[in-house]
Amino acid sequence: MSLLLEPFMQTALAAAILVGLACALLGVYVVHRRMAFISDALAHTTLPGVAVAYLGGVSLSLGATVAGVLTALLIAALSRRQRVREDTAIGIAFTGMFALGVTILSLSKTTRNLNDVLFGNILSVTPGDLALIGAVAAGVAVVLLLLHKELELTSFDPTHAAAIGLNPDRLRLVLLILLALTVVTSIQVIGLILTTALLVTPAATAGLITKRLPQSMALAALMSVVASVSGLALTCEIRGVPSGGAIVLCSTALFLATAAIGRITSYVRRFRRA
Amino acid sequence: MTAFHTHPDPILPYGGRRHVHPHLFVQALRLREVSARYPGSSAPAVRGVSLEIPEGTLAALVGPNGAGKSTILKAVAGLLPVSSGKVEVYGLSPGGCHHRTAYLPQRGEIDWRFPVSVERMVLGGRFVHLGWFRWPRRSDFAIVQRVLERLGLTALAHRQISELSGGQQQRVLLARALAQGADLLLLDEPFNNLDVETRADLRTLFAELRNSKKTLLIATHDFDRPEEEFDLVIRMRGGVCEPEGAPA
Repeated sequence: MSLLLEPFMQTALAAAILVGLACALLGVYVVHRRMAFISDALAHTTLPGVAVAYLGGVSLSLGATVAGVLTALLIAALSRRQRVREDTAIGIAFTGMFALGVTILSLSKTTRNLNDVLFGNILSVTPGDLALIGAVAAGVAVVLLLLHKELELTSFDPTHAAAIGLNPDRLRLVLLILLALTVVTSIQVIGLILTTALLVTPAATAGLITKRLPQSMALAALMSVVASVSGLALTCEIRGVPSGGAIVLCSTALFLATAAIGRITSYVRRFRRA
Repeated sequence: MTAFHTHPDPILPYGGRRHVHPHLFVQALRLREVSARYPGSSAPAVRGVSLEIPEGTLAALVGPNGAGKSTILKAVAGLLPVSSGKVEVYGLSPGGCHHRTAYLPQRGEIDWRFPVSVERMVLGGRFVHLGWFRWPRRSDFAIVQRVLERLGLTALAHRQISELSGGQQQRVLLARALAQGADLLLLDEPFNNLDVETRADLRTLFAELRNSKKTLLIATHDFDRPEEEFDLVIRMRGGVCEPEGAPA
C-alpha cells in the first residue's frame, strides 16, 4: 500500500481518476444512446495513429488523437448519407484501421510497445500526459454541462429537436469527438482493448440504481473513482497484475455486486408483500 | 384572436432563428401549390397541395399510408424543405414561426426508454424560448406545472417516460406542445395503437384545445366518418389532395 504514496504512483492515480471521471460522464450517454460499439471502434482505430507517431518519434497521444478524431468525422459522414448502415461502416473502419496499426507495429519489430498500447501502462504516464488528461476531462465536463439540455433532447426525440432548430447530427458529432478525445487519454491508463469497459460499466452500474440522467452521471463518476483507486491498489499489492486489467475487474465486480444487491432487495420486497 | 403569449426572446436562438411575431388576422396555416420530396428520392412525396386552415380549427388530414400526410406536416414544421410552392404559418414562412408551431411526432419515433421524467420531457417545450446555454428558470417550471395540471398529468410528473401507456405518452406530447405555448399543433397519427376509450378521451381533449383557440392539424388514417369528428377534413391520396375536402 505504501507504494501508492510514491510520486510516480500519485501521477498514475491522478491519471486513473481523471480518465475514469471523463469516461463515466460520457458513458451515461454511451449506454443510453447505445453507442458502446462505436466507442469500442474509436478506441481500436487509434492504433495506426499511435504506430505512426511511435515510428516518427512524436507524442503517441497526438497520433492517437488525430486518428480518433478522423474516425469520428468519417463515421458521422458515412452514417449521415445512409449509403451503408452505420454499424456496418463502423465494423469496416474499425477492423481495417486496427489491422493497419498491427501491421505497422509488427513491421517496426517492437512488440513491447504494442503491449503497452493494447493493455495500457499507467506507470508510463508523465506529468505532461497528466496535464493533457486533465484538460480533456475538464473539457468533457464543461461541454456536457453547457449542452446538457440539447444533448438530452436529441438523445430521445431528435424530431422535436430538429423542429425547434437544433441539428441532431451535429450534436451527435460533438459527442463522437468528445468520445474520441476521452478514448485517447484512456489508452495509456487501461489500454485500447479495455477502454470500452471504463465507458460502459460504471454508467451501466449507475443505471441499475437510478433512472435520472444527472444522478446517473454522479453515481457513474463515483463508481469509476472507486474502481480506479482499488484497481491501482491491487496492482501495487500483487506483483504482475496489470493496471488496466485490475481497474476493469474492479469495475466489473462493482457492477455484479450492484446487480446482486438489486436482485436480493427486490426478492425481499416481494417476500414482505406476500 | 388568440391572446398571444409573451415569451422573452432567446439570446442565442437555435439555428440562428430569431422569434418573429406573427401577423394578425391571417389564416393559421396556408399552403399554396406545395410540392416536397425526401432527400435522396427522385419522386416528390406530395405534389401541388393547397389548403387553408383558419385559427381555432380542428382539422384532419385523412388518407391511406403513403398518401403524403406526414410529408405535409413535416413541411409545415420546417423539417422538410419544400421544392416548390409556399407554406405560410400565421403569414410567415415555417422557420419564422417555429416557436408557435409544435410538431408531435409519431410515438414510435421517440426513444421512450431514455431516462427522462415526464416533467423533464414537458420542460423540453420551453427550450425553444431559452436557446443555447440558458438554463430553465423558475417561470419555465411554473409553466410546466400549470400544463401538467391542465392535462391531468400532475400525478405522473416524476414518473419515467418509459413507464407510460400509449395514451399517457400522447398526453405528455400534447403537454410539451402547450408548455411551448404553440398555437398550431401538428400531430402525426396520434390515434395509432390506442384503445377505443383512450381515443375518445383524446378526441375530447382535442376539442377542448380547439375551443381555447388552438389550431390542430391531425394526420390520421383511423376514421370511417371523420366529418363527424373534425371541423375540416382534407383527404389525400398518392401525394395529392382530393377535391371534396369540405368543412363538415
